[in-house]
Amino acid sequence: CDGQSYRLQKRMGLHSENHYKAEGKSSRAEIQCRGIYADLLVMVLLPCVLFSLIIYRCAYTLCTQMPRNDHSKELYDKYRETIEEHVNSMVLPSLKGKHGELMLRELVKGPPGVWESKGCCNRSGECCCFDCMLVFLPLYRLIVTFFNQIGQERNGEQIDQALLKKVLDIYVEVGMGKMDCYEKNFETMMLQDSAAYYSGKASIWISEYPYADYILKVEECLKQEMDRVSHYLHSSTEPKLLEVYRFVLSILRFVIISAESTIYNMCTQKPPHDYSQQLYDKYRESFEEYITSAVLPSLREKHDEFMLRELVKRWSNHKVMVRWLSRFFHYLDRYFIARRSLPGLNEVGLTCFRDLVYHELNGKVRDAVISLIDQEREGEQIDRALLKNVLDIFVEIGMGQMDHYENDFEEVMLKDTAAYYSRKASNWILEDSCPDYMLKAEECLKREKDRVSHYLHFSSEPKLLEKVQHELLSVYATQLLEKEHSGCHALLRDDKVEDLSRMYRLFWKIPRGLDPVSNIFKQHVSTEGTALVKQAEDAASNKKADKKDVVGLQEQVFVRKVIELHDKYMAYVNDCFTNHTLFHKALKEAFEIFCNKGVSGSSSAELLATFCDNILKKGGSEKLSDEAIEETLEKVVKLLAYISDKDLFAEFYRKKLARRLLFDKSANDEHERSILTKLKQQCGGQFTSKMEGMVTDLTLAKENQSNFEEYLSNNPNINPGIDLTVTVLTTGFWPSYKSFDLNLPAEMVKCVEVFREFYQTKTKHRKLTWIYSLGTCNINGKFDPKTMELIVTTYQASALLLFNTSDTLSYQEIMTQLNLSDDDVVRLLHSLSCAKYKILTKEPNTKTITPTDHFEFNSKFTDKMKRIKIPLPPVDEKKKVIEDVDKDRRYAIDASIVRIMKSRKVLGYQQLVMECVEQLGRMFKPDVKAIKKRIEDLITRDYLERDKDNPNIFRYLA
Amino acid sequence: MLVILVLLYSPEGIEALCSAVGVDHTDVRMLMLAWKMNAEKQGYFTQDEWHIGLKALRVDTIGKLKKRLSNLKEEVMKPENFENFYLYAFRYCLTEEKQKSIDIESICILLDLVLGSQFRPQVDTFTEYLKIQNEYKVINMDQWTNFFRFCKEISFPDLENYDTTEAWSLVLDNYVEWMKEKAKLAAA
Repeated sequence: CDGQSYRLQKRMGLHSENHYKAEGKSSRAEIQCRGIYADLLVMVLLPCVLFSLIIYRCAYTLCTQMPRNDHSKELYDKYRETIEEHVNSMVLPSLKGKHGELMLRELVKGPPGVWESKGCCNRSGECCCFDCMLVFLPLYRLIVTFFNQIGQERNGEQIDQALLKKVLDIYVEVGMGKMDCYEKNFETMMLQDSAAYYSGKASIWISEYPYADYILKVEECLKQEMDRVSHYLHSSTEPKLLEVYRFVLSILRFVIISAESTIYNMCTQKPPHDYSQQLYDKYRESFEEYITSAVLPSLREKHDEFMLRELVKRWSNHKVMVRWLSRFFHYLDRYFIARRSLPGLNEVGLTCFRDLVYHELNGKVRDAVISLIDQEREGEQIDRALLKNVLDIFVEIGMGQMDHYENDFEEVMLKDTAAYYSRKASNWILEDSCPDYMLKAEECLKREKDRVSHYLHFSSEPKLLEKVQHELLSVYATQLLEKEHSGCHALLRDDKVEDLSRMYRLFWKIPRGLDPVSNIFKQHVSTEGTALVKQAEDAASNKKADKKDVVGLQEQVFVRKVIELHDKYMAYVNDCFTNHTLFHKALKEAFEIFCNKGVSGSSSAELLATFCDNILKKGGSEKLSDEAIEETLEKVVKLLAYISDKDLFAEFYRKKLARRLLFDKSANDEHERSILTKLKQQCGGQFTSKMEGMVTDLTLAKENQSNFEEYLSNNPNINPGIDLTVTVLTTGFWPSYKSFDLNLPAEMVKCVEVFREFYQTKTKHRKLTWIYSLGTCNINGKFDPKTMELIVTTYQASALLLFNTSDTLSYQEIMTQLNLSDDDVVRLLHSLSCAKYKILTKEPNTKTITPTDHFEFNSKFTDKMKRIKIPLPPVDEKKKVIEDVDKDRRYAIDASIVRIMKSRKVLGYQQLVMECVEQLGRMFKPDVKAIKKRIEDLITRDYLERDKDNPNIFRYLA
Repeated sequence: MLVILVLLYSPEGIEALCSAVGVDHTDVRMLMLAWKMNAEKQGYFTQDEWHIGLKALRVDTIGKLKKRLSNLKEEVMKPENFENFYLYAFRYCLTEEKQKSIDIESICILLDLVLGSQFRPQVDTFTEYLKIQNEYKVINMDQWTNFFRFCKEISFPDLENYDTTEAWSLVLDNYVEWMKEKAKLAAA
């Protein structure tokens, strides 16, 4: 019904408004129509819709007549009258019948009560309603009620602040945007009343109370008045109220001035009447008296938290008193005290409190504070603000020094903290797993930090945290880290990355705390690595047992696994241990331990070189994309850093590289160069210079070959009739090979001669050394079934060519004619007569070659292929490589010792060894015995001598 | 006197001298005589060496020389002389031009000769070791002096104060290691 009528009302209003606008009177129309409507509503009672329609019609009709009959004006008046009548007849009587607070309540009562009835007459009706109210509001009765209320509150009674707020809102609202009503009808009187109240009070207080208490009272009142403003008075009243208050203070100021002038007078008399000292003493005494008579008793009778509250209150009071009193005696401060260099008034005031209150109570206070802290540690809610205030006393009482806070509170607090956490930790360490314990520890540290930020002095933070860390972590570090099923080992084993990170965070903060962690990390990694070595070792021995000759596959797997291991733990170092150097070192040391172990007789240097070879050569055991190869090479080079015998790696690598280059087995030239760049970056230019030379040599050799072919085509008369390809290499870059060992067949000798001549046209100063052991020949074998092309080594070819002139040859004959060692002859004859292809038949027909054997060309030999390759197994190079490296090392040690001694002239043995190891460490780890042996050798060769008096000192002999 | 003089310039002369004074030519006393005469070459005394030596010994007859030889030992064994004699012994055995070291076999004999009386157990074990090892075929002057220092300074047979981190010759390191190994085996 209400909603409908409102809509109706709206429609009606709209209509009349439209019409009225036309006559230029605009908004009044709305008011008028509603006036009628409200009038009718009040008189006839709302809910009759039909009737409303009629009213609407009536109003409409009334307003739309020609001027003479237009009743708009009348309607407007009627509207006002209606409201006035309503207020006068219903609202005011109900108000008049009530008194005091009840009246106020009636005034603010909601619908369908008095004031809210304005709701039905809507906004425009308000003003007339307000007008009526204005008659009521200034009534003395209402104001008095107010002041009674405020007065009650000033006397400390509880009043309904919300009610007052609502009433005062009415004053403001009735002003409809202006503050007139509030100011005129309420505020002015209220201010007058306040002034009267306070001047009355002040004059009484000033005579009744000592200054100190008076000042406290004044401060308290000021606070209350401010509260009042914020609770129910209008905010604009605040400055005015302060103004009044200042009036009160002016009384005080008057007192002060009179006191000051009295004091001034007392202090400026000639000596017998100079009361400065007495005043100064009196000043102190008044504090002392007040404290002993009022403060101490009240503090003594309270305990624990209540005592703390009392203390905080008393301290803040005391500070106010000191401030004011020292103003009274300001003159003393400026002259008497300055002249006598006595403690200032402010200081005296604080000292009194310190000597009387603080010294008596600080122990009690401290214990109370600590017990509260302990309660909080146990999860209880405590009043942090209170603690903050109490602890501020400890700081302030020091007057700039932290002694009192530190000695009287902090020290004991830290002890208590240590004891508390020591108790806790001793339980936790037994009950909790390592990760749980760490969680708790982290939480505790966080909470203690929080504690500092909330109420302890900031300077306590490092000390407090240090204590907690010590009790929770340092004390139990070993026990915690080595917990059997959850300690650091277990965390590493189970890849508990998060817990490890936490462990790092916790132990990072305590001095040397990370050492055990990094040690365990190192142990763990080296154990894992050693397990890999063992695994590879087992696999290798199984392989031998099974006689499965998969060359290097196990080693390949081993190196792969080591790379994976490295990736894994490098990630740990980076992520969990935030790249801390200690862990980098641990990882390095761990890898150095097992990386230098070697697997089944092969050193790790060799394994790595073989691994690289497998990746780089054609048809290696791993099929990888270019990116994967690059990445793997990168990692292998990283692993090399952990290997002490880098020279051994270099030698093996060079051997393998030579094979790849010379037998055209290298899969990709770019990868070859790329790994050399990586090696160069890591081990220096010296390390790779030979290898780079080798790669370059091969390019030059190809050029050289095409020049040679051109030379042959230009000089057809000297063409030997055999295709010859020569790869000219630079001595020194390449591994050493036997040279000139073989007696070449005449045909080949001619080739060599031709090439030599060609080469001399290019350069006169270079000597060619022929290495036949690396050569390859394609020869035609005229077997009975068919002629076949045989791809053989130069050695094999030379042996076979011998059979062009004789049918049968003995082992001895072959050896003499070829001029080769037994080893070589056995090897090559075996490849020709005992292996897959039996080009020669052997007498007796056995599987091994003996010096008494005879050989004959097997003319019956045939194969389904037209061209076959007869492999000659390479000599095991490992021994030679190691020997070469050993020899090189001797030279390197000699050179290093001489270098050192040349610059130092005289040097102790141990120092010499140390410097030598350091110098050579980048390439290999020289054995101390080897160094000693070289020193002895150098003594024999008169490079060094032992000092005559001290046999542990060597001298350099120039 | 004259007869001996003529003969002394050759090894045969030395042998004649030996039989005249009744001492074996491998006897340490002959070495001591050589040291006293400051003889440069093994098996030979030059005329000068002989003259100056005899003067220093204050002998002019075989009989006196015979007597003098027996107390020569006391003189040599004096600490201030012995080291000099020890070094001389090594140099005396270097027979070839530019020779700087002596083969193991000769060293063993020489050690036995010069140190045998003072450091019997050390000499015995060391010569035993030298004979079974195959790392060293010769011993140089430095190693020779080292061994003498070893005998003087190192408590034997416990070798307690032997410090492998010091600049002892490697052959001594190896020898000590071998000794300790042996002691361990014996204990086991």
